[in-house]
Amino acid sequence: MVAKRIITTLMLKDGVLFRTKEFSPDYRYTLNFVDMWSVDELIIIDISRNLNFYDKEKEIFFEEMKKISKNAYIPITAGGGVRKLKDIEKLLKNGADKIILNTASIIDANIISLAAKEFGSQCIVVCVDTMLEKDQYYLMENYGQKKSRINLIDYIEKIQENNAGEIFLQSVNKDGSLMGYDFDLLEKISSYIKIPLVVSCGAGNWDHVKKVLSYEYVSAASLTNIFHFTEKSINSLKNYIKDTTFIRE
Amino acid sequence: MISIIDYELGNTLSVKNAIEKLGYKCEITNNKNNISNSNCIILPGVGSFNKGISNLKKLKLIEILNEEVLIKKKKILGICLGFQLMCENSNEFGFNEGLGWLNFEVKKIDSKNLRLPHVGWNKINLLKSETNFLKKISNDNMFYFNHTYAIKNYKINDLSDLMTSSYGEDFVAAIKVDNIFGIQPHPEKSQKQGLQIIKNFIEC
Repeated sequence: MVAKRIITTLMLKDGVLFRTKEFSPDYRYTLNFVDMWSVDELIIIDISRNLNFYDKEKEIFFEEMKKISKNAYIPITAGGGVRKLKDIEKLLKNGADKIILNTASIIDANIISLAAKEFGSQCIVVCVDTMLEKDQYYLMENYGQKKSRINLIDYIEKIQENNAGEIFLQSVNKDGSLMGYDFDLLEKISSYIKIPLVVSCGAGNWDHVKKVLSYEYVSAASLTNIFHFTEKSINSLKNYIKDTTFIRE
Repeated sequence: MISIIDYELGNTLSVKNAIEKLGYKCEITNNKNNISNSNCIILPGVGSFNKGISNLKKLKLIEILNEEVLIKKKKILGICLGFQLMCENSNEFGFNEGLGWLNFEVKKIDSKNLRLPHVGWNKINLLKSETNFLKKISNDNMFYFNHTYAIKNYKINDLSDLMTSSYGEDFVAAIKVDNIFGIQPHPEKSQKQGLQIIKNFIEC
């Protein structure tokens, strides 16, 4: 049986590690506290906005990613600003093992299928940003700022038809809240999820993680903010949930 | 010097980081002379089978690799797609012939009700270990897998070393046939036990 994964997501802006709240950089960190031996996977996202992969400023992100990957013998999924197939190759050459598509696949979901034909669908993670407003869940675009005209469920079905390998689910409302994952959202979309699902945004204590991983269709829990507070936290989380959840100890 | 083959598909830097951590020298290359002068070769891989074979052709690497592996009998380790490319054929995105060094076919995992791709940390089952390739590896170790296709039609008698894993059905996790080593999970991404396998390969 494959183990449920604990993932740490790092948000970098101009090469600097940030905590985010509702998708905006909220607090700057100077130190990377991640315990690379306990965590199962890293997601690294460049949240610097409107950068082209061949801009000079983008190099800062690649340099930082290279530094992180140097001591990470765990999978690294990288994203932020991927628009073309060449961008994917560039990420893989700079320390990534999988990549994340977001804006590009909202513009044209065909890019998922083209990328899967080249890099295999197992390499292509599609980020789905959501927001709850007046009892309605929306697919969000433009860094979580704008409601998309595409229906959320339609989009989830479409990316899977196009051979996405995994879904990375985010929630603008829950990001940085520490109030728990968006469990209502999970209930709404669960029957449409046919591929591995990584759930992000909102974890504030170990019970939130334990609960989200208890859902059969959730493959991994992503944590951002709470892992930044103490160095031993991943280990203590794993100790807390190991009796009820099949994980890599 | 270890050659990590650059065929424009693959997490080459991750493989390089792992080898350097072990204290060995390596280079990411598709240059004939470099490959010819290396002590051993790693064929990494994050990609589709179809694209993998066509890139090897495009970069004129097939002849070079055939010479090194089949004639000079140089050690080679295929990782994930790199391992699959060493086989007869695959039906990922249409039927394609592979390098044909290993007498296996690559087929989609019949995962039953489990979600594909098979992604994450999974246990292995060590079935045969006659050389040092799987030294210090035990059934308690977990490895990081990320694939939809796998090798299932192995015959244990033909192999000196074999470990399998399971996701709806059993498939090969690692094998050795003479100078040809293959591993389905990513040892460069599987913590200490992964580094151990890379070390074993280099020192075999």
